[in-house]
Parts: sequence; C-alpha cells; structure tokens
Amino acid sequence: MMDSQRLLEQVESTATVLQVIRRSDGYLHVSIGSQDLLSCLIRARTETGFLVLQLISVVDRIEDGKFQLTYILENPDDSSILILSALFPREGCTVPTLSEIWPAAETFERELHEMYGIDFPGNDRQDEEFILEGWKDKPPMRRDFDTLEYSIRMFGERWPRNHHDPRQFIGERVGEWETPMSGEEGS
Amino acid sequence: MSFDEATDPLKTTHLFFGPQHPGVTGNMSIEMWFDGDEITKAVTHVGYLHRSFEKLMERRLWIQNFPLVCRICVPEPDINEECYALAVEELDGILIPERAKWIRTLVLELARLGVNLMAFGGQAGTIGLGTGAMWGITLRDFILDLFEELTGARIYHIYITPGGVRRDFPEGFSKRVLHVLETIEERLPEFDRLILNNSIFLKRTVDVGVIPPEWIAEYGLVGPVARASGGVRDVRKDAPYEVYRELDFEVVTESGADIYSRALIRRREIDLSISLIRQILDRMPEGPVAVPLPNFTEWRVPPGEVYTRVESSRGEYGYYVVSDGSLKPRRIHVRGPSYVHAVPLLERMLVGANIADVSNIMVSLTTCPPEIER
Repeated sequence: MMDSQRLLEQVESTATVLQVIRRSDGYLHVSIGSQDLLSCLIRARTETGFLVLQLISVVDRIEDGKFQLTYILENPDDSSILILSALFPREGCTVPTLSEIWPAAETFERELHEMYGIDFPGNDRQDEEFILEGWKDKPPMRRDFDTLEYSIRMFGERWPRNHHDPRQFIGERVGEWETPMSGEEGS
Repeated sequence: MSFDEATDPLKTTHLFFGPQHPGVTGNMSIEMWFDGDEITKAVTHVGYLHRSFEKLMERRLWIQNFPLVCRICVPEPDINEECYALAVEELDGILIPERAKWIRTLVLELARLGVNLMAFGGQAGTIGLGTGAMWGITLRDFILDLFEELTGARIYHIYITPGGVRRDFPEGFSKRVLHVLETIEERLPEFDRLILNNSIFLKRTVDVGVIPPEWIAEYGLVGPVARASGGVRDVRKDAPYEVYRELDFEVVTESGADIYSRALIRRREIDLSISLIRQILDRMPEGPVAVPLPNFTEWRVPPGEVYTRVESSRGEYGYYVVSDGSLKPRRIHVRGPSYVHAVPLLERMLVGANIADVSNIMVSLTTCPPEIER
C-alpha cells in the first residue's frame, strides 16, 4: 500500500491542503479548496493510479452554510484509499461533473442532485428521477428538511391515540380478575 | 445507435421488467426498449424499497442504529453491522478482544457461505433449473439454523456490536458448525453435476453477459463480478480487517468474464468460505468477547470522519461515517457494490443482449436494490 506521507506530498503538489482529516497506511483523507478539487481528482486518476471512484458523498454543514463534497478514490493496484473533501456554498450549490471521467459518477451525482439539490452541470441525466418519484418538495436529505412537518402536511395529523392501562382495558372486556398483587394494591 | 433510434416507437417495443417479476433480484425494475429480441436501451429504476435509512440514522443514538443497519441487506446483513461497528470503533478508539475478532470473521464467512449457496443455485434458477435454486436455499437454511442458535435470529442478527459481539458461542456450537460444513460438502459434488456440467446451463451462460476487464476500473466493479473478469480485488486480502491477515487463502479469480465465470467464482467461494471457517474454528482463542461501552444514552462519539470497508459476497462494501461529537451520527453513507453493478453497469451490459438473458445477467451480478436505495 502507498505510504500516506508520499500520498500527501502528491496531493500538496496539486492543491492546497487545508486539513488532514485522517491518515494511516494506504489511507489518506484531506480537505482541500473547492477550486482545486477537479484538478486534484484528475491528477489522482491520471498520475497516481486512483482509477476507481468508490463514492461521492455530501455532508450538509448547515451551520456554516456549506455542503461538504467528499470523493472517495481507490487505487486498484494496491487498494490504497484517497479521500478528498471540499466545501461549496450551500445555496445554489454547483459542482463540476465527473461523469466524463468516471462513468459511475453519473449515478452518484444523480442521487446527490435529487437528495440535496446540488447542480452538476454537464451531467445529462441529473434531472432523471432516481430514487424519489414525483418529488416536488425540498431535497429530503438536507438538514433543514422537516420530516414531521412534511409528514403532517402530506398525510395529515395522526389519529387521536388513546392510551389504555392494560389492566383496565382487559378488565372492561373480561371483568376484574385476581392477581398476586391485588391484595397489596387494594390495601 | 442514437438515443432516438434506440427508443423509436415505430421500431422498438417498450417493456418494463419488474418490479414484480420472479426473475428480478429484489424490488427493482428495468425499463427496456428492444428491436425483435435485441435490447436497444435499458434504464434501471430503483426506489421501490426506499426506507431512508441514512436519514433515519442521523436522528438516532449511535447504538440505536445497530438494529437499523442490518436491514439494508436481507441475505447478508452482517456486513452492515461489521462496517458500522468498525467505523464507530475507529472513531472512538475502541479496541475489541482477540476472540471477538475471530468470532466476527466466522460470522462474516458463514453469512458469505449462505449467500453464495443461494446465489450459485439461484443462477441456475434463472434459466429454469429450479432444483438448483431450491438446493441452494435448503443448504443455506442449515446456516440460518446456526445463526438462530448463536444470535437468536435467523436473518437480522444484530450480533456484531461496537466493542465485540453480543454473546459467546453456546455449548457445542463449534461441533455443530463443523457438522453443517460436512453436510454442505457432501452435497456439493451433486450440486456441481446438476449445474456446472449441465449442457443447458453452459449454453445459456458461456460467452453471455461478458464484462471486459477494462470496465473494472472504469465503473469501479468489485467482488465476483470483477474477479470473474480477471481482476484480483478482494478486501480480505488487499486491506485485511479482523483476522483475515492470519488466515491462509488465495483470492479466487477467473478469466472468462461471462456469466459462467461468475457462477464458477461463487462456487469456488463456497469452498473458500468452508476452508476459512475450519481454520477459524481450529485457531479460535479463548477470552472475553466484548469490552464495556459507555452509557448508551450519553455516548458521544468523538468528532471525525472515517471510511470503513469489508468484502461482502458481492464485493467491496463501505461505510462513510461522520461524527460531530454529538449523541447521533452527523452523516452515514452506505456504499454497496450494487450501486454501480445494477445501475450504470447493467444499463450498459443489456444493450445488445437478448431479452431472454436479462434475468440471467442481472442475477449474475447479484444486485441488491436495498443497498442502492438505503
């Protein structure tokens, strides 16, 4: 597996590393500037052997008004993992597509467009429905999507729920009955 | 062929395959256009089983997610428990006892064995050899009996928890595991004669559903799908977790790249799992099976991010877990192999395929829709 220090030096030659999030043998996760993301990903693929795009993920940093895009790459020769994270403005979030470089990216981006509302210009299929069907509301994986409010609006309030004491409830049906505790409770 | 030609209503027939179809793996559908018997375009539709696991996990305590994660994959739930446990342990710096590592590895191999028995027989089932499918399910049932005894549940075990496993082996459990292995081994030669030496099976699988080796990196193919096309990729060997580093095994590969090769990989994986389980039982150390954990209601996992991965029966399976130091996870993203196998890969493989081979090709990828939808 590739030494993480060597990997870090290679990333630093392309991008400004803002933070090393986690590192171990054959594993490096760094945060870089969003302006460096595309060039760093392309270089990782073409020059460092990270040919496989494992995952594109998003963390909604709503408190900072940012989306954290995370790209997980794998080198199939030695199974090393390189993870690149970058922050993008949350409102009107636009991220360059990778579907021309990795065909698998098209599907990841479709899902993120649907679940977070992130725009990937150049991805021809991002507007195709993926998991949700006929969804018109706020993208549901955003932190500010209120699931309870949505549920009440779509399906109405839950019916009034009566809570029953099992002893009273059963007693009404079958009559009172004796239990070992009856005497103590009655006293 | 351009988009318009592939879906031209005057030249092609438009058909949905699934979500309710005996030949479909799980709840998904493929929208197909075909000219005669030849498919001109295919689009995978998922979402029929979307239960929003990832959103739910952001609203539950760390420990409350354990009964949830296993439900992402019905045939092989343990990989989810393992990935999630590894992530929580990595973030919180929890070291588990040695015996727990061996037990976890045994559980993972038992689950893999069960899935491969079902998948190997199921491959025959897609072309009408229903006996093979039934035999596979029957043999898997013996393994489910073992899980029931060990964990109390046949399907969703909730057994691998952070800090180790939920309980130790019951009295005499190892002997019963060995007995089940012997039972399975006795039937395997007959299984082989029924499926691998069957001329119908050969005609329907050899040189059908071919995946060129260059697609492995292009799409990120993993597991038996990649290994049947010559790719030597197996997390158990490449990035060993638990005790795989201490076990003696070679990565199983084939070069045919077709459905037959993928079935052969699963058949050889059955032998490999049996061998690994025997090695584990031979060398299982004594000792505790779990370490104490913090109070679950007050458990704040330190802030951090981690990507953990294990080898499932379908290939590399990963969890990207983010903690902000609160009582609940900030983000959990499940990356199952079916994500690329069932969507971009299947859509591409089906173009030019015969309509009669759709189920055959799909099952050879052992696609699992719940891990796409999460």
